[in-house]
Amino acid sequence: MSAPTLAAGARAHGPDVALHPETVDASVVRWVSASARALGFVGVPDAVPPALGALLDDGTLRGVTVEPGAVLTALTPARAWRVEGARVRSALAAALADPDGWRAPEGSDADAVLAAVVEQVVAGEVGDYVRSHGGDIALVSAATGAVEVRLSGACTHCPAADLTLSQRVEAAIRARYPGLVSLTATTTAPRTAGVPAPGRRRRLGLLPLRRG
Amino acid sequence: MSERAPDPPPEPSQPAGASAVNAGSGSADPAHEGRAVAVLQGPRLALVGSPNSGKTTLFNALTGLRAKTGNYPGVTVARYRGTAVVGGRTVVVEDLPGTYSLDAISLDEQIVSDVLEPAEGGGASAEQGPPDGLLVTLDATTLRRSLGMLVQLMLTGIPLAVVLTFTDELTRRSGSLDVAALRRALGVPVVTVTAGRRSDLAALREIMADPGEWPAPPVPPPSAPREVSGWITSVLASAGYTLPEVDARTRRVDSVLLHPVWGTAVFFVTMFAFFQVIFTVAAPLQDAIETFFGVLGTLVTQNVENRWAASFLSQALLGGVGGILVFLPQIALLFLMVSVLEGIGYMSRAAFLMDKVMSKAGLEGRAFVALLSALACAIPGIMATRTLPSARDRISTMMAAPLMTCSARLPVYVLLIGLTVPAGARVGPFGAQGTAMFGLYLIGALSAMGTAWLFSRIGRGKGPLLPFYMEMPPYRLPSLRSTLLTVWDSCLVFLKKVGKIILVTTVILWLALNLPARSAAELAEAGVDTRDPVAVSSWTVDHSYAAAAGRAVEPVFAPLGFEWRINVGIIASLSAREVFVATLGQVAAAEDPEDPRAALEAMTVEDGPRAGEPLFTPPVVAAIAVFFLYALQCFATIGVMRRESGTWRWPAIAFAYMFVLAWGMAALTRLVVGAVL
Amino acid sequence: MSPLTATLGARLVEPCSAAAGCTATTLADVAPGCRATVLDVCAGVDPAVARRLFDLAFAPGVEVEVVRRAPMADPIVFRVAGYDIALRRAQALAVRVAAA
Repeated sequence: MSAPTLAAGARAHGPDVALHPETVDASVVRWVSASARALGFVGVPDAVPPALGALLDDGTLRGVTVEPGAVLTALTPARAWRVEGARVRSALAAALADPDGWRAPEGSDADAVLAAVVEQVVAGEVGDYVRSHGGDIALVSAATGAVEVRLSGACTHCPAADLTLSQRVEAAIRARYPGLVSLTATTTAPRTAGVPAPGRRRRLGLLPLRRG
Repeated sequence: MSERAPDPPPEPSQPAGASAVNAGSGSADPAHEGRAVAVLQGPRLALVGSPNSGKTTLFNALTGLRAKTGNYPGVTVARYRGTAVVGGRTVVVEDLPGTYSLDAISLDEQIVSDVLEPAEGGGASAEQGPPDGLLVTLDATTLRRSLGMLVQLMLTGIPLAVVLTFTDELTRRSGSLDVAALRRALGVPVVTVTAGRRSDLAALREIMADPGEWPAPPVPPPSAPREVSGWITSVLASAGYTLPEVDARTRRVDSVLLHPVWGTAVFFVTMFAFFQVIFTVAAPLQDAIETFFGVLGTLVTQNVENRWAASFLSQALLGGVGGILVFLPQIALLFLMVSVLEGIGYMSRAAFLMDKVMSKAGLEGRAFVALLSALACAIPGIMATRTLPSARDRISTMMAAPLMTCSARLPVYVLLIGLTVPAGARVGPFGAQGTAMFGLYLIGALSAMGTAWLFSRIGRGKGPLLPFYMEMPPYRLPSLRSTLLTVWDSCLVFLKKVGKIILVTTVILWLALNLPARSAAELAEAGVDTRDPVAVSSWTVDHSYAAAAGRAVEPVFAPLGFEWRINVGIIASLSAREVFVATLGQVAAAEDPEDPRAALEAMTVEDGPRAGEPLFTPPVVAAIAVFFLYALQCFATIGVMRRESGTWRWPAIAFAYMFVLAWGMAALTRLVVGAVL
Repeated sequence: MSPLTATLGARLVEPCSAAAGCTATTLADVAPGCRATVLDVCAGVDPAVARRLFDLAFAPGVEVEVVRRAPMADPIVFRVAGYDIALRRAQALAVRVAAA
């Protein structure tokens, strides 16, 4: 086995577009795909590649929205996913294989993606976990890879809050946004009457990460 | 960000509204499927999954002893159906054969496809329509492969729920999986079931009542291989799946059990023990059963006045029932060992080691166990062919198994060798009698391999050549419940389905040997001493329908040197080979019919050119031995072949080819031995 | 023939695009203990067999480890997609791989 052959073999099957559908409601399907992360924006794109654009033009789809790691497609009323699903999948796969064909909406940059990722984590299982323990977590800001969240409720006096933050929240964000630089949490102390206590700041020792 | 709500809680009381597509199919079972099934209502669920995915264990846990077995029409795959009572409704659960794909390349896989998507006007269950729902067992440790099968099942459009098994093993082997995320990604209900956890089963039972309510993904998965790979990758990624590490325990055990030297040694020790258990551990149990029925028979003879009725009761009925039960110890032991070895995971290792050798006979490694069992008795041997995944291999093995020297041939061989080979004679350092016996065993085994090769060659002409692949599952402890249920089920099937055939043929043969009934006057007129039961039975048999048949077939057997009295023995031996000895004893009016050697040695040919010469000359004895080696002189075997192959076609073919082979080889043997001596 | 049978039977396991030009070895030639990446299933093989190998997880791009060989070098145990499976040499010869 010669080295050139090896290289050729490795190049040949580059990443195929991996995606699968999840139900949002009767007309909207969320196509979860790692390839959607490469788009680098969230929201309603200004332009999509021709394969997907054709479906918007012919009235099959009424809208496309990009989420972190997923693309939402809304079907025109009176159309059925059972019928159109395979076409939409093929078109979307072709579109995701061509990240340059997408145009981001005004103002959607890396920070917007990061903010969306945090919102996703907060709304998802990690947020559920925090809420199930009587706490709450909310996004304060996301800028240049640095995220600030606010912990409230039971988290205020919870000795495990740091652990939850680093092992669950941070891990979940990092899995969806490898470019995460730091995660900071502000704890509000809602009980304290009178003098508004300055938020206790917890800074986690995060190392700056290489940008992929 | 809207999280999809968890699956709606099942409502067992709600009628199967959404399953109205298949309305009535649950109770529309054809009558032949078994009376018990016909009264059931509620949805019909099919259990699908790859082999080793815990499917059978789950089936047993859900249905237990309420399972019914049968065969798919025309195919040699056992069909298991059972019922589970869920929320007051009876759910019919059908255990489909384990398969890795719905893209059928073997007959067995075709069944799964046919059941799930009955073709127009044909197929194994076209009369029923597809099931109302599928329970798909997915082994969490092989999820990447298993999802491919799930994709194909989703494409059928039948509502399905995933039963995730071996999640505990996944965790033990440092793999991970987020079940809630998997549920969301797949869009179908996902229930984890860990062996021995009752609460898991309860969760499964809860959803089983209403397959029509199961959620489904908005868009069915793709079918093109490239897209399927992408779908699987995406689902696994969002479910946070990491492959389990290699099972270190399994690797360590394998490094011994699959070692070229040690592995082979362990294999032979295991198989020797296996054979010993079937052969020797079963023997005392079988003796006890025989003795018991012997005692019963004697009691009947002593207490029933009418000689004819006494004989019928003791020999035909009790003999028949005893003749069935005598096989039970072997069958129970065989299936106990097979299911334990299978459950542990050793069977695929043994097959792996033997595959190269068996491939010479056109078979695969797994056929070895069946042929080995056939050395004890062809019946457990043929039943053991169930472990073979390909129908073609099963048939080839089934056709070959009766040629392996079974224990019923032993008494016949002992008698025949005793008639011709002097006890003191030696062949080199070995006793001549023992050498002759070994030779018969060897010829039997070689002929079996040859036959298997021939049948697999013939079978190859039809359909594509099946690729050989065999999963090597991690070593696991089999569930006691499943093991015992397998044994129980095999015994039950044998008693119910094969027992009938054995009983009927025993009765028919008895009637042939004892009819027409003779009055005392008739006997006296013929000069028979009516006070001597040996003389009476000898005369009755000599003038029975069987004797007439023996005379009628004389021209057929004449080239083998068989006289009508030998023919009577051969006809009688159809009930079981060892009966040959006792029948010849009766015909020869031996004092002890079980040891008729002296009487036989004295027998001479009655008429024809050889009249007056001894009947049992070495060429004739050799011809008889060879005839017994090849002929399918055993209705029990025919019965079990019918049962395991699902048609009368294969037993008919087996009987015919083995008769032709036996006749030809016996004629040849007589010529050769006659020329040599 | 049912629609599903037709759909599944029509599946085409696409080879990797570079496979045509490269002198790949087959899975049967990889030494025990070594890994290789599946390129495709040889063109001469029955398409049904190729599809089955795909269903068993021998898909283009997948990494396979050769675990051990039986006493007479046949069959061979492979580890693919987290499980062990034995194939005969004849099937292993049909799978073209690039050593990893």
